[in-house]
Amino acid sequence: MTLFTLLALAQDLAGLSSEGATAMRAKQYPAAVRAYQKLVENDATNPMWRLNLGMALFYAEDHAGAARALEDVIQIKPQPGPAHLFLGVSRLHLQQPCEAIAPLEAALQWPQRPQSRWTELADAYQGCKHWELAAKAYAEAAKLDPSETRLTRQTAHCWRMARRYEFAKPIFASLDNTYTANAEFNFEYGDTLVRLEGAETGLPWLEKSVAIDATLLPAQAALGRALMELNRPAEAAPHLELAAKADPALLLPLSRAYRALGRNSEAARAEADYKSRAVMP
Amino acid sequence: MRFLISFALAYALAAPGPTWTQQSLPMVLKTGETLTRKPLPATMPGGLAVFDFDGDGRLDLFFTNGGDFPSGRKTRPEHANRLFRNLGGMRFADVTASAGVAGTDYSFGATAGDFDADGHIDLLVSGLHGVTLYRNRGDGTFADVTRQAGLAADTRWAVAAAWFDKDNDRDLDLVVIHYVAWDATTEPPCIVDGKPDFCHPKHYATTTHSLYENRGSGVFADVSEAAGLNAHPGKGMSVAVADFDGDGYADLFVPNDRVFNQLFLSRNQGKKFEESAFAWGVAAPLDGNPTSSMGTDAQDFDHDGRPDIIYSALRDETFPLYRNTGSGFEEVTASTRLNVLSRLMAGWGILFADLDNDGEQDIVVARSDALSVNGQRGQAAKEPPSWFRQHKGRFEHGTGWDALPKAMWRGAAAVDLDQDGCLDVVLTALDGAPQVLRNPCAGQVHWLAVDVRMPGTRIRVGPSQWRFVSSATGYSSSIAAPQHFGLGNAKTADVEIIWPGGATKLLKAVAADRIIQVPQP
Repeated sequence: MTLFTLLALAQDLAGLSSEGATAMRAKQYPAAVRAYQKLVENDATNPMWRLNLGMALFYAEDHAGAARALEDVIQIKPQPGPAHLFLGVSRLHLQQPCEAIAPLEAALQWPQRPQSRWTELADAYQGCKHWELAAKAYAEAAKLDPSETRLTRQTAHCWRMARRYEFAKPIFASLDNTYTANAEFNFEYGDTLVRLEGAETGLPWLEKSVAIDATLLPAQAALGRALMELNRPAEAAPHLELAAKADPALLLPLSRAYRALGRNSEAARAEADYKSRAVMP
Repeated sequence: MRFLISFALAYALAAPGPTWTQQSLPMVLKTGETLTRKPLPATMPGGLAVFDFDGDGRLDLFFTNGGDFPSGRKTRPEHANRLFRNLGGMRFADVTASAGVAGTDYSFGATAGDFDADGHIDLLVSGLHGVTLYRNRGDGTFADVTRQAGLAADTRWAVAAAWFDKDNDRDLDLVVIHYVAWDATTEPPCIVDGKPDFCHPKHYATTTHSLYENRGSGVFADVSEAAGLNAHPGKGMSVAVADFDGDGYADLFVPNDRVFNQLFLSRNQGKKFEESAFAWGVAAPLDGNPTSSMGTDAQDFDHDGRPDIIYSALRDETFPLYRNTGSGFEEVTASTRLNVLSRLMAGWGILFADLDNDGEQDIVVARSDALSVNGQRGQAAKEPPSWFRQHKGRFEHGTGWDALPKAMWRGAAAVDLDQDGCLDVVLTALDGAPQVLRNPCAGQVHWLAVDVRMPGTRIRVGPSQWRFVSSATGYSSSIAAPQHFGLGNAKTADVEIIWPGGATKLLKAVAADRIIQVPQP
């Protein structure tokens, strides 16, 4: 190859690079993808062009393509950096939260730490049902942005899902005024209180939850169970009847409620249903 | 070889109120678990037995121990089960070797009972490859008579057992609880939240329990099929034996791990057992979610003369408590406050015991998670042991144990080891030494112990304190000891004893603060 040819090629590459950057700035992501693809075809070992290609694909909402390109970047340059962050987020978009965890954890090591990174990692943990880790990550994210109550709400939600009710309770309490009209919040807080302090304590929040949204079946279930704990089967039965359509485990307390009310044939039917349909946890 | 053990590790548990002292025994419960190898049996050893093996009037301690995998056998001396002779004054001597009870199988549970009615208490050890029966020769040694007794054929994993007189013929029959169908060669690798850990029980098939009838002359016959047990597979973790329906014959409650619990009610004079957990309301807790049911105990906590049931479970499952109404069980976990007390706990060994001698049954629980300490839960899998003090039908946290360490506690027993009139507590822990917690209550209130050893016997002291003699207690453990009653300020009490079959003896105004021995008529 002559020097002239090399110079021409360099000019072409610089042009393509500039073209890609311009397209990215103009949010013309398909054009940016085309430019960076040509660059990558020209030099497959250049991590910068692959990273740019991955980011262009990401913004073009081709998350599968972005993930492939960013995996290649990490192969070439494994040090924590933006490729890890965009790969993790791409996998979140691809509904692969468990696969998103490793690159997002690596992205935390990247010296320039955008605030959103804890949130993305928390989302990945939550999606993968690593509830404790999710709670801790949301708590970190919330520290960085205390005004964002959604993050605090998610922290409490994840502690509750991790069955660490003792950690969830004070957070729920701090959010009670903010989410007072939210059925899901009232259900989660009320249920947490029932578990930690007894049915009597949590009952008002569960009642409020179903008053706001009668279709929220987990709240109906929790309310029905709480009323049974308080030996109020007549009030419990309608809530359990509603919720048992979605959760056959409730057929057992429902049968006990019927029996306590003298509705013996319904009790027997509910118990038989429970035996045949209950899913072992 | 026998040697004295001084309690170098004894120290007072710093806490307000009466001071319990903690003492370690020199053995370590070996599980065979490694960082990467998590065979299911490795999370389950820790049963113990408390009985007077040498007839000197002092209660001795037997601890099961684990082994290696994949063999599931004891391959090194430190795997030996251990027998400690009580020398008095809270001193114990390791007599394992001379007694001949070290064992060869990976062991889980121990059950003490005089199966041959020779006056010497024998020992059954449940293990990964079946059970081992040791006949007490009465001279400080035991003979392995498993084969002669007809108990060697079933080589399934036995986790617990109980001696009981199923047919009131005055000899001890045997029930053996099998957990799941398990095979080292097909153990699935399980990852919990990204780390190797013990598998959920759903990965293993259910199995059935075994019932053996004592035919005399030291021989047992497997009557599981005829008795109806084989029709009801489960994932049994332990067993409680008592006459739940008051028909004069012993019944069996088996807590199962994440499948419905079982209640086998005796029918046809002990020849058949009818599974009645649903009809009696103990198949699952009131919320409808079957629990990881673990250890269990059956005693009368509410002074109505009927055996109630408690069992331990994992975090967020509570320790369900059921009151026996005579025709069924009513779950009273919430009304007794046990639900909020135990909500954040995981438990294994659990038992009723009047620790403060106030005449009300308290609850002792050996706590910890089932998952590994080097798995996802990490050190959070360890918990401290707890006791719940009963006050008029409601429970509260017991005091004096606040400084006890977190560990993977498993077995538990409450017995008066130093004969000072207070129930001491013995605990086992995975990868740890057994602990003896000495109860400091001596001299504060009165007590009475009634030494009646026949399982199935009912004893009433005072107007309404009842005990049901059973060889099985808590998690895979056994106590063959005088039945202990706290009397509070009373200096005398009437004692009524009702043996299986109906023979009764009434003793009026028995003086307090003593052990009375009452032979079976």
